[in-house]
Amino acid sequence: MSAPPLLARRLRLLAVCLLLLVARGSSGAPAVDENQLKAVFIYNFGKFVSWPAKAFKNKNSPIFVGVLGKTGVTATLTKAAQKGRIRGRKFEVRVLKSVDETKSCHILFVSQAESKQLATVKQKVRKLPVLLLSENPEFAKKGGAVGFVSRNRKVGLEFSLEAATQAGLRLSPNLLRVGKVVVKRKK
Amino acid sequence: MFAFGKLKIERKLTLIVMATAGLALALSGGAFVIVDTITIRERAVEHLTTLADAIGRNCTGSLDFDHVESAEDSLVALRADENILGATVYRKDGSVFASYEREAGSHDSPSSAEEGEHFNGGSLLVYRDIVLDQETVGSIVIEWDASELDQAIVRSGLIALGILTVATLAAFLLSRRLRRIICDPIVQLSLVARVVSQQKDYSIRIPSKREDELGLLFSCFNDMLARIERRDQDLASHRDNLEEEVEERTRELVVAKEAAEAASRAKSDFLANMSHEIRTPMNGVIGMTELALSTELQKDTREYLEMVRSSADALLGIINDILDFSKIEAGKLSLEHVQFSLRNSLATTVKTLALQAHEKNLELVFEVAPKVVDLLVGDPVRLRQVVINLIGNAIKFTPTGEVALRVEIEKHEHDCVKLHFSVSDTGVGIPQDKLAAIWEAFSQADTSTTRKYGGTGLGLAIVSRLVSMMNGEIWVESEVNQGTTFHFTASLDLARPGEQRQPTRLPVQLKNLPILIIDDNETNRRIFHDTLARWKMAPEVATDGAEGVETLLRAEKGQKPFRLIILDLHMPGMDGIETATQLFEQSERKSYKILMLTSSEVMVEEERLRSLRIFRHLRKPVTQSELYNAVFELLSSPAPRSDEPVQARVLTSETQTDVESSDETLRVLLAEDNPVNQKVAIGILKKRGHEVVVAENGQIAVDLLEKDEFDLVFMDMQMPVMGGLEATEAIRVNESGTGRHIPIIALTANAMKGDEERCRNAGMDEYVSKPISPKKLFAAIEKVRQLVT
Repeated sequence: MSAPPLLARRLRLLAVCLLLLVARGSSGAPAVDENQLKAVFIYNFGKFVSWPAKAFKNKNSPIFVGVLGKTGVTATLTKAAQKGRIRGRKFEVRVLKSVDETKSCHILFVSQAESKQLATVKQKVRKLPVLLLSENPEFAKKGGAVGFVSRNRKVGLEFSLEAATQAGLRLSPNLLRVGKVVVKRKK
Repeated sequence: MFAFGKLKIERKLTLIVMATAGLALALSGGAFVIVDTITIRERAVEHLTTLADAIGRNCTGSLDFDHVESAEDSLVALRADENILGATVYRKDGSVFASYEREAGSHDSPSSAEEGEHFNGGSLLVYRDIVLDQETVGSIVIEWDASELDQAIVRSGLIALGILTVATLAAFLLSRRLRRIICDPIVQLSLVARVVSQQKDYSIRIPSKREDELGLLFSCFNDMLARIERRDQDLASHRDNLEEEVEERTRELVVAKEAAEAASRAKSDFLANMSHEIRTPMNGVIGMTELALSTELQKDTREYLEMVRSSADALLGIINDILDFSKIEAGKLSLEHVQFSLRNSLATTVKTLALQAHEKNLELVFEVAPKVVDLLVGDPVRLRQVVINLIGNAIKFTPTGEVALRVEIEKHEHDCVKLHFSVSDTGVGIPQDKLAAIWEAFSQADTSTTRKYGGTGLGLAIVSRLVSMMNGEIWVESEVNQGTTFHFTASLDLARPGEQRQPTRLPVQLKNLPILIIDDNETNRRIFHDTLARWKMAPEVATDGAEGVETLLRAEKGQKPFRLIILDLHMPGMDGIETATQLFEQSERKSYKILMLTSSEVMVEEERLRSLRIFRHLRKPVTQSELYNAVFELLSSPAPRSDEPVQARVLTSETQTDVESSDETLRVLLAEDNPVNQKVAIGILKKRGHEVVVAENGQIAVDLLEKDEFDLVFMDMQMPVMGGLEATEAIRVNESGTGRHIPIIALTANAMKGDEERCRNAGMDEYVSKPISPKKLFAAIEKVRQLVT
């Protein structure tokens, strides 16, 4: 029944190689890894976040992912978006040029480069069903919905249920289980 | 293999119940275990599937975000179920993502596989894919401890076994109960049936209050017994009735039989009376006519008397025919068995018919074949009657020509001969179609015949019956106008060789011979008296038996005792037999012989008649010639000595009726005191025709020998008064000087050598040892005869 251990190890090696292949192509080796992981995470958020129905024009309208600022994540994310559909919707990546464009996004990733604009963006998408992501440390504690945390070359997640609730979004417990909830929802 | 068929019903029932219950329970128990097993397994799979799905869903995030710790956290939740040995989450590529073991290090994680459940050793593995947004993101396996399942199966098996045991026990108890309900009555029934069949007692009943089929069976059985019992009773009562009926019928039959016998007796009596009443006057008519004819008569008167006699003869013939026929019909006719000469008898017969034939100018031929034996034993009177009848008929129906009687031997056997008689004529003949009718009584060939030729029509009927009584047959051949031949056969015994000698007749002096006539009828008395007187004899008459006895006794006292008594059988008061008895008892000399006159057959044994000295009987009416013949024959036979000593009892003086006394017959003196031995010796000697005189002891024998003549003496050895030896010595002393030597044969009880010698010394010639037998006696006689000659 159980496959021989050799085969299992080879399969695992193959999987790692594939992952490395996907990650190559953007910048430096460690940074590249982090960006690639973040891109996959952003893509996966589409599966674990529920938007209110009003956030979409219709059933088939795509999930818009906006990327503010220049970052290595964009390339990988664009590639991942071409993979397929999430819950019947296409995944569309837009590189935003101005803060004004943020309103129409469902997921908005604010890069480290544009972290100065974060307050403005927060203001713009307030009460709008936009999942706001940032690489800023303690972003979730400061009112953002999801913050990427880098720790020992690993990417972790921090969630603010309050922020998500205010935006009208619901985060799947499965999503929550892989990160850390730093701000709970107010009663 | 055990024989189920031989078991008792209760065993069978128990077995059937147990087997049924056991089988049903085993099947249902098995089914229960199987279903239970399947159910438990399905439930386990379902449970694990649900569990795997739930855990899998929880792990979607962990897989997507490659967050192993969260997945492991989810798997740890399985700890709550102690039967789950472990669980593993695989990535999409099949590599292990996270795993959980209940007991760390207990075993390796199984490799990923398709969705489904697998049994692996003692555990159940349930694989489920983990699907997120229609995309398989990984898979999960949960390993479950299947020993739980095994335990459950064992448990249900045990339960089933327990139920089986309890139920079988219950079935056994139930079957015991069943036995009481079903078997016991059947056993009871079979016991009763056996008792009934063995003891045949149908009054037994089986008590039963049941209302089921067994109750029905019992009541049917009881009904059956009751029916059999009732039938038996019916049969018994019917049998009783039958017996009563039979008894009643028997009584009726006895009454009827007695009535019939009485009627028969009455008929016989009537016949006898008729016979007597007719014959007596006929005797008078014929006798008187003959007497008258023997006197000197005028021519006319003689002619008239001749006509009277022939008319009387004709009448007598008719009467005889009628009486004979009646007697034959009544079965009263019996044939005599006496010795006679065939040629003489037939010649006499033909002679009497010759006159008739001569009157019609017919030739009467008579021919007896030379080979035919002359001396025969039979009934000459009846033979003569047949011949007379046939010849008479032949003469009657033959106008011209001849009538011939021929006799030939048909068959000759050891001691008898069958003769063939034929009477042929040249007469009118009998038509073929009437041949059968001639044998019928009261009929002739033609009724016109009766008118033309006369006759009663009884003749041939009597003839044919007489012939059949002689063990013969009669038949007829005839052609009309050519003639008729009557044939008949008759069996007659041959006379014994010793008896064929011509009798030696003693010269008889009839003149002045005293004769006593005892008859109640005056006419007859007169006829006999006058007839005998004409023959110069000395007749005396007595009117009844008593007077006869008186006359006899008176004569015996005088010089001239009667030598002959003519005695009528039918007399009022004392009849002939009684008279003869009285005469025998009262006469001292017994020197007489009796000639009995009868009207019908004498219904007394020949032996008794002889013992009463009745040696001859004649049927009335008696013609002169018949009377003369009878008287002459009686008187010329050796008569008993008139001066016989009183002591000597003459048991038998003769063995033959007639005059024929053979040279070989010996006069034997038997000295013997024992009555039984006397009888035996007399019987044997008499059979050979010897005359026996008995002496009770030696003295009497000696005395008798002095007075009387004997040819031979049989001498018993031991006798009262004088024994055999002494008597023999005395006899020899008396003989000395006379030259005589009478043979004496000793009869000894013990045939010892000494005896023989003593006998010979005493003067005896031969001896015979007792018990005596004919062979011994005759051998001794033969010996002494040779001695004498």
